[in-house]
Amino acid sequence: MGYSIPDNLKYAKSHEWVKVDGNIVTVGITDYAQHELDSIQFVEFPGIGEEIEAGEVLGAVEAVKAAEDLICPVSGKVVEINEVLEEEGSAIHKDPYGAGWLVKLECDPSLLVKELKEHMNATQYKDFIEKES
Amino acid sequence: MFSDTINKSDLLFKGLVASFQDIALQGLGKVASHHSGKIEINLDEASYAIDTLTMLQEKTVNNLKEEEARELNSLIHYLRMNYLDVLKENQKDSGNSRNSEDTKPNNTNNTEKKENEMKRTPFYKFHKEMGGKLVPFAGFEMPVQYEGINQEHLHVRNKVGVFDVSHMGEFYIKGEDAEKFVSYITCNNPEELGPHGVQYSAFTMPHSGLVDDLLVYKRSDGFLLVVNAANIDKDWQWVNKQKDGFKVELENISDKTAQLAIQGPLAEPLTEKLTGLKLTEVPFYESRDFKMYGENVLLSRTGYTGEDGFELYFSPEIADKVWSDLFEAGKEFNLKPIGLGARDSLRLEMKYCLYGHDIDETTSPLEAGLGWIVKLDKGDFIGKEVLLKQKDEKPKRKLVCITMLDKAIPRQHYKILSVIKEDIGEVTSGIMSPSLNKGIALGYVKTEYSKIGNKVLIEIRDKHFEAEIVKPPFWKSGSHK
Repeated sequence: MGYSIPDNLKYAKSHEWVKVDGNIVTVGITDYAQHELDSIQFVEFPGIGEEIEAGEVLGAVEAVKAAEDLICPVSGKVVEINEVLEEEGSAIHKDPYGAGWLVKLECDPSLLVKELKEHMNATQYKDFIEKES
Repeated sequence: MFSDTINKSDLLFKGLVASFQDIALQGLGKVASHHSGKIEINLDEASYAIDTLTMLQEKTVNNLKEEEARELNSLIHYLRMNYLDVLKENQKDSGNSRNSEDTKPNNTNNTEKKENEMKRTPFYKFHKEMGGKLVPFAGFEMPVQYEGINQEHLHVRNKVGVFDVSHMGEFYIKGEDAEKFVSYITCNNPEELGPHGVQYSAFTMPHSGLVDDLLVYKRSDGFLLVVNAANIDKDWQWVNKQKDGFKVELENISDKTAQLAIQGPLAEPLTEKLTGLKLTEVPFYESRDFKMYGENVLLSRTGYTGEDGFELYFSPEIADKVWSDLFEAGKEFNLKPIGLGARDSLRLEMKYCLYGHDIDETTSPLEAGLGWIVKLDKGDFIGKEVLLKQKDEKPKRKLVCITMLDKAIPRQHYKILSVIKEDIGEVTSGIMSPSLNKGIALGYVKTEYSKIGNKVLIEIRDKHFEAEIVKPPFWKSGSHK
């Protein structure tokens, strides 16, 4: 299926993407994930400054029919959230890798390197969703 | 997002459920006793196991994966039905040793067959062509949405849409005692129906729980009962069990019947154009018979959306023609196909109950606010005694409409709390209302908290959000007659 999967990102099995920029990591949900969720209404975010470990719940995406937990792909401190999405979630459908980003985390560089190894690159993620769907 | 890793506690939970399932099946005589190697019915053992599973279900609410919850729910359901069957058999021929093994191979075959074969309605190819997203639903591959639940929902509210509801079940009841029989197995009163009458009703159980909710159509030679797709087999068994002593013939015509629901403020002109009938003469909850392409068609002014609309029943043989001509006629009305997703949101805005969520075998129609279909002044029917008592004592809980005051979406199984955080109930259906743009829910609360205007809290991921009990329905501007 023609899902967009940019090469420069890392992907979690729970369908979050991760973009690394120094020690700042941007997290969002993938094109595949936004297709699976019908009409995202809004996103429930963690508080700024909250420390969240990889694997913990980072927030929730509320779609018309279901709520899905966001799983934190890497450990870090929340430094920014995409406030627009607190009110209205359609940006995730329109631009899941751009305007639909969710959270920025400040990470410990050495831990980050280790945690990123747990995630998939674009090719691996493509195979992964083909198997899943 | 969709975390589906299996961890150790998932496996342990599965094992625990399986061990009680095993005890229940031994007690019900479905499998040989592990002690004697023979079929030995022990209802006390079965009851203990079913009660334990029910307790597990109650204690794990909100903490199971959707699939786990569904599996556990259907297991308990299956065991309860079988328990009632065995109990009845035992009472009927107590002392007679029954060869229970006779029934076993059949049961197993049936379930295996169902898992492998997904049914399709006669409109399947149209759903694919028109971009429907198909999902398994009640054993059928059904379109959950086409362009999006919200758009489809609003299209039905503002214009007109068509739902393929061919998965629904249809039973035909004929014979001298047809009316007496329908009156005995349902809580509404079929005697009140005129020659073209249709009524909403339910199959009640002796303890007042519901086997299913349904529509009852008066026919010239009997009655047509339209039941939920997920319950066809269960309902069919249930009605057949009740027919002793009644001169009736029952026929399950579910596989021979295609059904479409045309719903929306423009449903009348569209359906007139399609059928050539004068529909202003058909009142709400009445039916008409006519022919299309030489085949019999039954039409009724009914629906599950709160908008004006019609439901059409006909042979699958003319399904292709009906669909094509409907969309041809529908061009000027901007007719669109609507999926099950919007069907759910539309009915929820009207407080129409959905079986398996808002009503089931554990809920009484009086608790669900369905007192208007419970006719306690008619002759004997299953559950009457218990319902009479409940009416006197007033139900302990009530199904209420809840609107979120905070920005949040209530979902099934979320806890409902009083403002001082006492546990007072649970959400049975919830959604972000596309018409009102607010979170809305149905849920049971203790009767003392059920007053309109009462503030409550909904627990969502350990946080509490403010909500209010409101007067039904949520959507008050529907075009239904």
